[in-house]
Amino acid sequence: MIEIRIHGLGGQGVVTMTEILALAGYRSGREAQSFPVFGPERTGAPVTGFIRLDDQPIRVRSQIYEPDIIVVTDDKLLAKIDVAQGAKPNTRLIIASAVPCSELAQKIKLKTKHIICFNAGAIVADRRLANSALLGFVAKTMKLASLADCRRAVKEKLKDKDAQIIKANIEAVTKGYAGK
Amino acid sequence: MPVNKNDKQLLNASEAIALVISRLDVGVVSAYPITPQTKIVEGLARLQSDKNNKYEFVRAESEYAAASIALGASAGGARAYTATSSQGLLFMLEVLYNIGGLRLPVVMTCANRAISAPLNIWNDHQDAFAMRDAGWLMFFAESAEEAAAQHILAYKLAEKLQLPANVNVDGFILTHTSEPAFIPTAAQIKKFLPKFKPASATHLNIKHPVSIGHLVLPKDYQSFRQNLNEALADSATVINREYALYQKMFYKQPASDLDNGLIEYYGPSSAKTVIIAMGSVSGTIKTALDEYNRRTLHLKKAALLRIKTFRPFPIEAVKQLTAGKKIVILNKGLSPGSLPPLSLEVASSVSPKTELVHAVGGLGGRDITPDGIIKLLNLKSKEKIFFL
Repeated sequence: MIEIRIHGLGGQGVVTMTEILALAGYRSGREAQSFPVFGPERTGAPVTGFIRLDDQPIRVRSQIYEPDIIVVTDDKLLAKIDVAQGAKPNTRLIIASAVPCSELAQKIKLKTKHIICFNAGAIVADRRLANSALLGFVAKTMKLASLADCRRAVKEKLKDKDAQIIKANIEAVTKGYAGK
Repeated sequence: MPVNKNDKQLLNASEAIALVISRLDVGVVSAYPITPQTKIVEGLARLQSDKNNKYEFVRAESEYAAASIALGASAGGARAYTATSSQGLLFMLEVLYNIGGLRLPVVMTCANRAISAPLNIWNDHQDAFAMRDAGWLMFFAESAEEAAAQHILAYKLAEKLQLPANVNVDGFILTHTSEPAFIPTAAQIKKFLPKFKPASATHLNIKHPVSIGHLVLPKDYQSFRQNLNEALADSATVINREYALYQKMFYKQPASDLDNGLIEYYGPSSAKTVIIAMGSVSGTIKTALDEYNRRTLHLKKAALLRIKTFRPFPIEAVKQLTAGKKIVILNKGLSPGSLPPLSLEVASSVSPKTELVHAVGGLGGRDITPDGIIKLLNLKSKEKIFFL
């Protein structure tokens, strides 16, 4: 089983991102479960999303305490919470940031080789697309889903949005998947 | 199982329930939004714009009104639906007793949430326990797929038995969790649950006038309540029969004594310890048991007895399936001043010599982990309630 924890800030689409990544993993052949954990809901407060992917049907419903993959969508979170909490020796931590990885690593209690920095904001024209780029990058780097399944998952989850928005997010996912 | 991955969609229980309600020919949906039920009602409001969906959607001004509108619609001969949580259910309670007493086949979802005070929006079963004696069938779902199935069954049973039915889904843990779920199509559902045709003289009809909800004098009141009591007590056979039919139709699988409409028994029959629980925590218990039983000597293995219907309570199944075993009861609720609600049911179902462990956990959304379950299995029987 692969257990993923996603950290973000309320109002930035972390819940949607969690659902899309789970759907992409599901379409790529694994069983999937995803759920958010809210505090008192308000914009800007830390929000956590959880994903489980497995070859077997998933029945456990507790929160994830020792994730295999941790995704941090905003480096501002480093000052608010311990994003590395529960990390195992092999846990990979992917963080979206414009700050160099070596600088960030000092703020996170985790060995440097397990931290992967990705400047998601730099490859998209609009900051609001950064999470989609990060999603593509995570799916590729951690071998969670194919590009086609990521694109399909975005299309499916955002189907009620304007065509422009869907297109822009699909492009962002594709760029993130290519890593640039 | 003939349901394969292609038949499933990744949905949360709110989406699953909204979808299934929109597909079973409901006449009136009436609700007032409350977290964590909101997504169900939003989903039904959205789905109503689909030209195939013909239900009336009433955004009531309160839960009291929402339940009253469902009562009125049902008394008028329509298939009626409502949904709520927590304080909303408490506010409805006066109407819920009326719906039960009037034997109206209303179906209501409760997205289970803690009760105030202190204020808390997260999951437990205290809201559902508050309607225990209202004369409703009460189901508890383990997953999004089962939640959908129980709503279809709920209408079939409610209309057959002339009893209202309540389906409980754990707030957030089911209502906000995406997972693969099979949701039958409207055409498939129709084969199991035909169009609602209320029997004559059971609803308000100007062509055949009847009176519903009139005053009943002391010489007759008790008989009405006795009839309600017997209808619930006798419902178990019909629930099992309809469940078996549902399993056969949608899963090509027979029901059994270990998986019927009232209960599911998971684990070896030789288990020395049986944990009794309801709802979504059963998934976590199954995961914990798989690991525990793999590492444990044959003589110490454990099993789960999942209660699917809190009303009618499966007294016989609990008695038979736990005979000679230690029982750990996991309650997501309390009855301050006595044993917790599920414990009371189990204690009155089994022999007085049975070793019982009463546990309370998950109140107000406190997370229950597989490790927590293992801890419960190893507890010794005590007078005191163990708080996980």
